[in-house]
Amino acid sequence: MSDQPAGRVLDLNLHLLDRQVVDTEGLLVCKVDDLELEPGENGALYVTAILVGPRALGSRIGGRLGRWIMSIASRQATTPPPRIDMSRVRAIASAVTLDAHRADLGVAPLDDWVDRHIISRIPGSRHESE
Amino acid sequence: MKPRYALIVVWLVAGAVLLAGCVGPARTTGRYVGKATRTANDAISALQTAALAVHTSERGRMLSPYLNVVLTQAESDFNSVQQTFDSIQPPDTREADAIRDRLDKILTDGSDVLGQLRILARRGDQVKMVAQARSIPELVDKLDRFVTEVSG
Amino acid sequence: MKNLFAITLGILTAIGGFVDIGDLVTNGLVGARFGLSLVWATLVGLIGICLYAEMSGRVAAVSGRATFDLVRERLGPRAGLANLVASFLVTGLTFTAEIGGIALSLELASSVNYLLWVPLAALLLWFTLWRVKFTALENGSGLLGLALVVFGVALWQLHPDFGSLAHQVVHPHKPAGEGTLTYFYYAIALFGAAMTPYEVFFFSSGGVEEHWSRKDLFTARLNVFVGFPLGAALSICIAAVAALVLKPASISVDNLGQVALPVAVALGKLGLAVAILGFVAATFGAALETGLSCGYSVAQYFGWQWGKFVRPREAARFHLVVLLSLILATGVVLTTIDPVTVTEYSVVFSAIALPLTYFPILVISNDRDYMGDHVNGRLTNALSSVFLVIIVVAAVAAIPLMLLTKAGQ
Repeated sequence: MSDQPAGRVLDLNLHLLDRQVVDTEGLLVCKVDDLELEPGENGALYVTAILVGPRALGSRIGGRLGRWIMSIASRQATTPPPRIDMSRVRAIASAVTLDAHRADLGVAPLDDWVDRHIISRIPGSRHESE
Repeated sequence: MKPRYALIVVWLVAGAVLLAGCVGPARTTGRYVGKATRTANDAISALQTAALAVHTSERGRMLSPYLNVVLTQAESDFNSVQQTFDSIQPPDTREADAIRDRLDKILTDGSDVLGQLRILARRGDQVKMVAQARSIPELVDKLDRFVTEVSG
Repeated sequence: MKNLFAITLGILTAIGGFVDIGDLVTNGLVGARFGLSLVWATLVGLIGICLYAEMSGRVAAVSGRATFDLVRERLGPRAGLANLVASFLVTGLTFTAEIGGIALSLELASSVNYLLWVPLAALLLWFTLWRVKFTALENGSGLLGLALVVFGVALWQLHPDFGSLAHQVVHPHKPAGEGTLTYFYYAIALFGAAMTPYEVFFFSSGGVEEHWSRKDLFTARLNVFVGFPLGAALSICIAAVAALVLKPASISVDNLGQVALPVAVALGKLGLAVAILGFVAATFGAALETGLSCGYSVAQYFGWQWGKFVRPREAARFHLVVLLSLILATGVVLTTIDPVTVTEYSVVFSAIALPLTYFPILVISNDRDYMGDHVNGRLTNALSSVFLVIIVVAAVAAIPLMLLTKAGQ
């Protein structure tokens, strides 16, 4: 079973990398910071997962700055680098749409941390102002 | 964009900002005259602001909190202009010293007037304030003549 | 009828929202010093921002995405990061200037020292950013900002020779006694004041906040092509009254109070009160916009959930960035650095950052992937390309001119 949606051939730079990832409700999840590629049976490379977070982004920023970002992120990391398996990707268009809910994905540990320790402590954080 | 180039740009920008704010010593009489002229013009601006504000108040067209702020600001601008000028090391010529003395005298008078205006405005003493402001045109005139004569 | 109301509201908001502390100070300063001989720079800036705001609004309406959102996709993570850093710093500097502007305006109203107003202003800003609905925020500050129309009324009351004013505009003539370099330095400053980068990013992010779709294209365009020119007209009125009242008296503008003086001269107490109200509203509104823009740019680069249209808990990192930007900007103001000086630098740095912020918009609005059939027409592309050249020239010339003229002295 192919991990790609319909086994498409994509120009990764043009159609996949740095795209906004959106969950099934339309909420913003993250960007495609990097991709996990694995060779398939016929030798062609398949995209198996979307990689998220400073470690992934740092390797693409490259240079001294990128390596610095990656080293800080690795030192602070308590979990393996967040990844979204390509099987969860429903559509690739101007954004990458997933068939999961953002809360189930666990790709934004910083957001959860900030939410729990800072934002939720400020009164009024539960209500949308719109 | 390579980090090195970015760093160079950052230094250039920082340097530009710092240099733009610098006031250096005046090494020649010509340069000193330039600084004196600029000082005189800034002083005129502060005095005229005060004069216009008081005149507008005389016509019943001013709000007193605003008037207070404008006069206080004019006074503090004036004083800082005088301070900056006094802190410049004049070149070692008689001409430069004469310029300094002449300008300083007018500036001191101006500083007194503006200080008085600020106090009278805060006290709400319209009459005395208007009377005090009548000495401004003469000071402005002195500064104008200073600029003309000194720039030659 | 309801549609007409919505459209009018949008236009009014655009007018009132066009003028911020940078426009207030720069136009007052230039009017008092150069008369109307630099109005052409404001007009050039106006055309530029109309072009690019229309593009970024179109991007928001058609693709449902804000422009900065798409910068990283089109430029890649490295260039996108450079863009983010530059935009964030310039917007942060502008934010600092606006907060200073609010405090200075409140000082003019109360004669209480501006530093004492800073914490209150910051708290009020935070509360508004946190709790007030986006549309209410926009409409409220925009409508109150319309109070600045009083400058137009003051101009009328001063009974100027409109013919001679028009002549000054159409035949710009550098005043005797001013250097050519200084003249062009202030042209760049006016340009930067009219085309502040945060405006286009805010316009498109705001479009997404208000859930624009293709149906809203007409409204968005009306806002831009009617609202912005009227806003620029207000800026020109501020310069004109300064030219008529301050310039003949040899008054040069170095604080906010002097900018309102011509209104007091022309209209008296009521006009002055309205002008000060306008100052407070314009700076407060602009502070809200720049504060949000600080959050928008960072969140949109990293792909975080952003916006006031979701609960704060859903966009925790976005709100944290906004809060930290507010704290940092407030801290800078509290160092007692002169807010007017900060403003003067912020407009010039805005001009320097323009190519970085405008080039991606041109690229994205030509991209069929996002825009479908609504890509730029040939005229738009031609004009925008010309403007890109102008923007680059201004950006490159800004620092040398700043050095050579010692920031306009």
